[in-house]
Amino acid sequence: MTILLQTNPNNQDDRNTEEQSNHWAIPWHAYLLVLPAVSLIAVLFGGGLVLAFLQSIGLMGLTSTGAVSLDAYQQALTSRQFWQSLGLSLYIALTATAISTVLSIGLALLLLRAGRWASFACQLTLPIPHLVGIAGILLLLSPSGVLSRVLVHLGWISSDQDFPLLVNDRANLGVMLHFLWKEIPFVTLILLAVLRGIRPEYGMQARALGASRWKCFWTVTLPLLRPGIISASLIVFGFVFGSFEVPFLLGSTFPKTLPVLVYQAFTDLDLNQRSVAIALGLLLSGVSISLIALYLWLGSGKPFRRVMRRAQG
Amino acid sequence: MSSFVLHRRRFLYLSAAACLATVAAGCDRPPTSPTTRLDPATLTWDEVVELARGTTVNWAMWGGSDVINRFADGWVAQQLQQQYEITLNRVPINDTVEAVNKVIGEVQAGLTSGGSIDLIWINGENFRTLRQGDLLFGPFTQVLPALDSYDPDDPLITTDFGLPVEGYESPYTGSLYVMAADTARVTTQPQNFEELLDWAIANPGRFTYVAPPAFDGSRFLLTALYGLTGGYEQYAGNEFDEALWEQNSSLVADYLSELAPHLWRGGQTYPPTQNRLLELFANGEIWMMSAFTPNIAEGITTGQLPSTTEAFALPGSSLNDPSFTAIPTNASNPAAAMVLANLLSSPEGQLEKFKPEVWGSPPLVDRDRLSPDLKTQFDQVEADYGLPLQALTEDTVPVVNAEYTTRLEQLWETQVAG
Repeated sequence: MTILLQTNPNNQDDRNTEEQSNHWAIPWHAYLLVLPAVSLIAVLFGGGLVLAFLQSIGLMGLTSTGAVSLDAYQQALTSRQFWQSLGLSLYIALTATAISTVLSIGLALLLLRAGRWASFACQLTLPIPHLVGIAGILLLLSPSGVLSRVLVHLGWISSDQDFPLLVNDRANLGVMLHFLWKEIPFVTLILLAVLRGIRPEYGMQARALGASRWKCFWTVTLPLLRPGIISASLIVFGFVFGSFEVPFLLGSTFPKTLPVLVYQAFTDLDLNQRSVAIALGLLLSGVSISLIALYLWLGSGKPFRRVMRRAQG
Repeated sequence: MSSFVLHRRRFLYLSAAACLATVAAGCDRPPTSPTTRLDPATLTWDEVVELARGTTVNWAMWGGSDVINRFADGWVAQQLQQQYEITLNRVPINDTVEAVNKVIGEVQAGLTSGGSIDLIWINGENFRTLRQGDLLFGPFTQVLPALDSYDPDDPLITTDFGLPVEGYESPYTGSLYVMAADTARVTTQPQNFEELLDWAIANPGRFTYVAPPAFDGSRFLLTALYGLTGGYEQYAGNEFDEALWEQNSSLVADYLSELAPHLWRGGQTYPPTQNRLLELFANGEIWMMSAFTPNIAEGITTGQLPSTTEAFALPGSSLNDPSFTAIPTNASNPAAAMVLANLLSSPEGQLEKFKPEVWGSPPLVDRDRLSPDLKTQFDQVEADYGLPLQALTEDTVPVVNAEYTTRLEQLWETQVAG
């Protein structure tokens, strides 16, 4: 729907434009109407953030002295571990998102004409909890797992020590494999739904005018898919970046991802570490929110248009 | 279309009104009267039992072992129901620190009574944390009749990680942190850390420990500190000794770094949890590990670990690591928590969980204070126990001030793993 509106701005009827011109004249009771929804979000989400912030600057909590102190942030930001963890989290989240998005675009295009069973197949992995997936990966890929035993049995390797380490490894291959297994069907499902909503006439028109298949993909299909790609990859990135149990159980011993570091600080026996844990958690949210904002800004195409305009002017 | 808009608008008005009404009603409510607090200093045991009768008790305990859960849901729940008509609600947690966090969170949020946890299975650092925040109910153990079966001068139950218990904890389980080896593959068992290093060099990839700061991993670091720097006695004081730590810590770091390349997977990675370590041992990936006696006994009894598994102590380094139960200050049912704590400390409770087919957890009671009949039963179970418990116990030493463990964890993260 939004795609059609964006590509055919002239189709909007008069009533629509009139409403838009009245955009700022919102009657007072409209605010009252959104109050329940807004207050729920403000109290549960905003309130939590405020309480967390107060604890992180030492104004609340069991060990609070009642004075504002940025010690927790200083301790978090000056530790080498924080930067290593941030790097690892970004690496895992960006790689997993990029790979699953690219593979899903291809898969969705392949499955476009496959009928309903394709959507059904993509939904199969959705209800499986991450913990079950982790257990499956451990059973299959750990050095004494099924795959390793089969290889030993076939005589390809002589003992479990020859099997490559695929879980809790330094490169976090196990974490990556788990996320790809879980996220590719998810992204594909979303892209399939978007693809099915795109009118085939655009592509046919382009082909009739002499565009190659490749050119048709780049200039027609991909731009029309963009909203779906952006929203799906955002969900994947946000989830993977903040995911705890997968890197905790399948990830490397050192460095740890940021959520694992937060958990470790929060379960530290020293009560003073709790404010550091909360500061770390808020930093994690901050990084995540700003990256998503940056991505949305880039994805909207505005910055590129501005550059183009400047180049033209 | 218009009727739909109307509906939606009406719905929104209704929900807004409901929202405001709730807030208004909430303001109107008189403040709840403070419930009368139970004072253990003036209570008798009969009063406690009477208060607890017919209630429910919430017991937060580590829930990662099927046999322990069966013991709690089976024998303990039955006894509570039959003797006191108390219903047991087991609150399974992944790590005791979760219960500690819950209590802290509740008290911070103003819930100073009526909390969700009545009794916590606890020891060491977690006990220190709750004492540090003044979050424990007590002292209460002087009321419990079960404590008559314990030696009041035994440092094993009067201190917890160097911190005096002072009646805030009731003894629960004995536990030895020792070594286990599969004798089908290990011919000579190392007796100290030098021999352990030699063994690891001769058998690359067949030994490892849980990654600290996970509970088990931190215990291994502590045994290493004892074994490498000349024994436990120097650390036994109530306070952390900074100068001593500065002087000795580098020995531990050097040793662990030297050991790392000969560990499982070349020390590139460590098992993240105790269960994963036991799995590695059960699958034959590693041939030697450090673990707690109940895990080893349970593993041998259930057949999860090879029948050729043997436990042995590193004399003067392996740990005697008892655990306790304690009542948070905001417990909603401290009376029933005291009854449960008493049941767990009682000779009958200690005997039941000592049986290897039940759990295999070593008792803390002083057997000389028991009736001859009970004493015989304890000796009988000991004879059936798969491990030479008495001999192992003699070689173990207590756990010291938790600050050493915290420093060891930091040292491991910065100098060994990093």
